[in-house]
Amino acid sequence: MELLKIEGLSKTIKKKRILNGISLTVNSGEIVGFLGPNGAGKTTTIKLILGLLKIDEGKITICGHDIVTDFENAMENVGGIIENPDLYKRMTGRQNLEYFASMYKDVNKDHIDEVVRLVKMSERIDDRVKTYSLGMCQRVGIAQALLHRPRLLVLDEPTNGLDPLGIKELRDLLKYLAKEAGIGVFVSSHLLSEMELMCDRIYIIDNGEIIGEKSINQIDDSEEAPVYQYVFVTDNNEMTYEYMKSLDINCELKSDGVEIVMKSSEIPNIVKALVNNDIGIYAVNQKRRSLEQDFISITTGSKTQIR
Amino acid sequence: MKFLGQIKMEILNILRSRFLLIICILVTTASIVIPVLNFVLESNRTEDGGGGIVRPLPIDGVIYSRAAMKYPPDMGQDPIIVDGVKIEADNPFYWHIKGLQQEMNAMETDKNRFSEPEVLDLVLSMMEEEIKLYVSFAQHVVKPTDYRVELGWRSVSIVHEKFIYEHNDVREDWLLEAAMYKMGVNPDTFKEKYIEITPEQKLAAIDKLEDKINNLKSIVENNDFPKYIEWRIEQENENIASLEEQIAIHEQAIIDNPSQEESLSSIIEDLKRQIEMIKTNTIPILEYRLERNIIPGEDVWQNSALADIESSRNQISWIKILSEEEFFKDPWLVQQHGSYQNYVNSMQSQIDELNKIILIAQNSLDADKPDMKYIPRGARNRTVSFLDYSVFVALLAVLLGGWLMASEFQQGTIRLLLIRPKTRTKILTAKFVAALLICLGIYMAGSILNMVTNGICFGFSDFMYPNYTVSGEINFFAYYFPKMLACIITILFAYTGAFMLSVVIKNAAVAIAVPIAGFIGSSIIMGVFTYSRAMNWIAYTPIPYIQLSSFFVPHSAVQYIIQRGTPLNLTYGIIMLLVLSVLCTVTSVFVFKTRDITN
Repeated sequence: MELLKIEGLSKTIKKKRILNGISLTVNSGEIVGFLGPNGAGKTTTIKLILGLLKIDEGKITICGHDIVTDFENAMENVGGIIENPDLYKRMTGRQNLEYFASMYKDVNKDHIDEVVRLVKMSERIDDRVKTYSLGMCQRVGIAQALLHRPRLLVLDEPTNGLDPLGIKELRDLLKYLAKEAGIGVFVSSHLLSEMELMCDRIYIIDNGEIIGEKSINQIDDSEEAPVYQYVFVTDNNEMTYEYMKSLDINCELKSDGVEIVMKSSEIPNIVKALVNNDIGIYAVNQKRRSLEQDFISITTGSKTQIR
Repeated sequence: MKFLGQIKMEILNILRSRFLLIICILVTTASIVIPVLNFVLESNRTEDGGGGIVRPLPIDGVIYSRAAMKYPPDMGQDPIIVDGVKIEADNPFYWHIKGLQQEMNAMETDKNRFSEPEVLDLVLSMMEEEIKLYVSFAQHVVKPTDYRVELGWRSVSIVHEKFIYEHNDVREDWLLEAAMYKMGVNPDTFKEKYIEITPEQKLAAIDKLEDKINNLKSIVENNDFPKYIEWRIEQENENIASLEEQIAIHEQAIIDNPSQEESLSSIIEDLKRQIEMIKTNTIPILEYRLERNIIPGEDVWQNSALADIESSRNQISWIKILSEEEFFKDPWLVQQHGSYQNYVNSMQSQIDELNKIILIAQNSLDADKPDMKYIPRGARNRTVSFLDYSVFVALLAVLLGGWLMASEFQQGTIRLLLIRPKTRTKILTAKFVAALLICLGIYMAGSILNMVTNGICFGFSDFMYPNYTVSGEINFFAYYFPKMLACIITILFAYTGAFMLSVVIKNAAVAIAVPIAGFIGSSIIMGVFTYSRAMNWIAYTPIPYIQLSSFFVPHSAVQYIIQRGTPLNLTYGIIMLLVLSVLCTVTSVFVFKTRDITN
């Protein structure tokens, strides 16, 4: 079932076109990643989904409710975090949750406790937010997103400020929610490895446009031969580099060798060519394939630089 | 129900800021602390015995204002003892006796002041008589506010005149010189009046003066108030007679010299007005005093009321509205008022104001229940003056309103707030109402606490007296509560203004500072314009109305401006402030609804 459906979404802020006709969907029980360099429009998209920005063009529906014409029903079904989870610092974590809970139809105290346990904040929940670390704020931020048992979660960089253990816990939590409760999760991040470990499917956004949509399985099995990153270690790396350039191979000279991204089926041809050119090959190392390579390969040629 | 619950949460949310909570508590307790402090300070002051306010006595302004000066007892003056009578330094006659004694000493050393030593002897014996008179008065009259002090001054000339009759056998030029020194007689009629008379005439004159002086002395000794009133009425009738005499003289002068008619007829008119005032104002009030036994100089509210009636009637008799033609002949008036209509309005409002004063005083006296204004330190007056508390609460409202939305933007909580299943209008309304309720709650609670505290400190009985208006008698609470509610508009206006800035500018410091600057600015403008001309346009701006309480609190700048004829209209002001408040609110909602949350 489609929990989130975005069609032809465009947004211009201060005469700058931030989003240009984005379309995407998030289904029930699915964790969907939203990947893109800084300034690509991730946060803008999420703000539009959650009603913080006005839609210029296009349409967003959450659980079948249009967020413009049926805002209240749409929002009943979604929980979210945008950028940093800025809570009321003068209040305790629990008071914050109670305050937000009061805006939903029926969220009782027991449920608040349950959510607090879920994010492992039970011990500190009655302290003032002032005293929290960023990670603790993030946990309470996730708790407030889960308060009203939403069917869709929209999270903007939820791992910000969490320690590695916290990140793993969050990942497990989201997977649990998706698989067991059938919640749809739409999560943006620039931590590529994160996405890889967590998502069923990712959208890649750059310059306000979706430039790729891949499911993790699809990436694994796609195209005849998988694309890998290889490092050629030779007796003359400079020469190897120059030679590959002359073959029009996209390569990079590193300290330990020459790095290329290539289908595995092409490697024997390259080795043959190098040997024919009297280049001594010490090793051809296949690097672990990751989403990062995909991401880089997809966004190669993009004006935006990845930091 | 759901919405009420939401407002409750918002109130909790606001009050969970310790800073705001403390400020709210402080503002509320101020309503109790202020009257209690006043009470403590004032009761300390009376224990010290230091001067309470001595009101100028109503009957004879010129003479009494001198008498009403109260010499502090601790000025280090020693009492004087004359003929075994001890006169304390705070006695109303003390300084006169002391002055005479010093003058006598100085004369004895300065022999050349008079042409002959015999003249000096005459002057000295006149002064001795004078001292004797003062001492006999000083034995009975010890308070400067006593109505009998006046009789002392009146008696002196009688004593002097009697002295001259008694000594009309000494050399004429000596006597004249002495008399001139003490009394300032007319040398042309001196001989005719005092010297060239038969012994029978002399005795008759002395007897008559003796009667007069004894009459005054018996009033003083027996504190005979009815007799005092009788004497005063007699005096006023003599006054009338002498005024009529002057009129006759001027009328004769017109017949003799018709060219003077214009200048003299205005003098005659004025004299006739004076006679009219004595007949219709001074004498009836004296009779009223006798009837109700209201003794002048006593510290009772009835004296203030009678003084109000007397002086207001007097002032009204002076006000003359010029015809349009006459008005334009006077460039100063034209400059002052601008147009004839303004001038007429200003004059009419002055008359109305005076008539109102008379009405309140008259009703208070008739019912023997004083209006609030005659109990200036009573619970009612303090309660009404505390309407200025609304300005205090308005500043709190600026603080709350300016902080409320701006802090959501500045802290970033706005992002987590607006993703809830409530429209922005609902969220804004809940917050708006919550903070407004806090302000109004504090204002109402503070006002009522203040009223109760005033009752406890200064007596609940004062609340039981009615107030008087043009339309009749009104229970104090019925008088007070509408005014208290009206002052909410000041709070509302300040709040909505700050709230709008808070939403539009998204910066709490600016949203708080700008309205406060506006408040201060409007006070300054009011202060400046109180003393300048041609400020009628100000009546059409919100400036004079911002502090609505100043329309109700006695002696405020606004009331002064109204008396000067600026057409301030309270109803108009209230409507204008309400409209502006609604505009601010609508703007807030509109801006908030359509705004992109980009931060």
